[in-house]
Amino acid sequence: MSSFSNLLIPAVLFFALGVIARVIKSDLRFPPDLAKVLSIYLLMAIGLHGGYELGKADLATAMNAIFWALILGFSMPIIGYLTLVVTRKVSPMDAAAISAHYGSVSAGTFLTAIAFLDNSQVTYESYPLIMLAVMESPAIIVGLLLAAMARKQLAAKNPKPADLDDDNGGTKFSSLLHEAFTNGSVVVLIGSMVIGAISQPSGIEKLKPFIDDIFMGALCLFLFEMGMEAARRIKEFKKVGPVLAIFGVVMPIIGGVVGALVGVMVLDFSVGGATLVAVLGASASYIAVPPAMRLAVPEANPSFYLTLSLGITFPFNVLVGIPLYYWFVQYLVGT
Amino acid sequence: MANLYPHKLVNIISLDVLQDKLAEMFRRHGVSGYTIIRVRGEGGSGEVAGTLDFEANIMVKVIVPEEKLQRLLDGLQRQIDKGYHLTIFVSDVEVISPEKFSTPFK
Repeated sequence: MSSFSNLLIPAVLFFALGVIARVIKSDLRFPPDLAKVLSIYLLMAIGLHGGYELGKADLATAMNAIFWALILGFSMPIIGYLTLVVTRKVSPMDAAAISAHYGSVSAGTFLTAIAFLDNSQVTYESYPLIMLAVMESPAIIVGLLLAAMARKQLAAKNPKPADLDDDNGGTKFSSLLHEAFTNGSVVVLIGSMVIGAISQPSGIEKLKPFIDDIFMGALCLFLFEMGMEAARRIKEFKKVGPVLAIFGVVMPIIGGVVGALVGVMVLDFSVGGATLVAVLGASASYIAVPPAMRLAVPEANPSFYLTLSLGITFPFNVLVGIPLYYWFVQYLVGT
Repeated sequence: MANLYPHKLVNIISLDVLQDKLAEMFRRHGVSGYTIIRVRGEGGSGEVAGTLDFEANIMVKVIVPEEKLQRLLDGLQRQIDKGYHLTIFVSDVEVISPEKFSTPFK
């Protein structure tokens, strides 16, 4: 029961309000680009905050956290891909695009978990924040490789004439790698962390109203809008069908369990820190990965991966997953 | 008195993420320039409200002399064959400075 009452935090309630506003067909509209502005702000604030903490942290632990973030980032999409292929409900292209979303991470879910921990007065390490930055890109690369494999198999079955004046595959792939690593949110997050780590403490102190005091309010606004976006996606629930919808709930649970095990057993984090690692394992990207997949895997159906990551997994994690992973981590630590 | 010269206006409705790809293609085809407008609407891909990055749509407008049209359309067709969702329509327009539309940009 105690974990249920933790749902009654303003950020989560605003998410629910966004969903309700959409369901009752309210005429509420957020100005264009607000979500973009807020997500830049949120990443910048959390980056400065975490970078400042990390400046004082232990380098070996940080490197170990980065190493495990890479392992999670590269292996989660493969687990997702194999699971999807077994269901036989989607084409290999769709499976590749969907699994890239599940290997990558959602900063929105991560921040909600921070709000949850703050609200429960649970402390947490700042290392999961670097893991958030690191885990954004590897899954995109794995997704692209899986899609390239699937494309090759398809091409072997029914060969097509080669493109004449078109961009060839090789240059395209390198530009996609460039995109994966220079993605806007990665630049904002890592850049802010470096600034936070090397700035003078007195300078960071002056920024406190910006990075601490208004942070939760901005998160409420962001989740308010994301609630509306998620609800808009739930409409398309019918299109994805029950098997994929179940995947949208089961996959984050698998990721959450793997993340919790890594956080507790391998990285030896506190309950708060390990919960954050579990959330990283469980969350699915809906900001960085969709554009990359739209560009690089046009054969995949966007309504599958958007409905799954934004319409099913994101609300599941915000409302059910985070308390669940917290409970699981407590259980692991307790035994 | 200024004269009018017939040209073709190619309108492309596409995803925001394809912007660089299209620009690169125009450059290869020696197009004189292009104009982009952010748009939103609803169609085969559902509602595109433009609130989030990944579902913002753009309308790209390109004016070309008639002899360049077919090759450009073929190039666009190849993108559609690859799976990209592009809505393309062409209309007749008249311009007053044809030399402007025959000089490739950059």
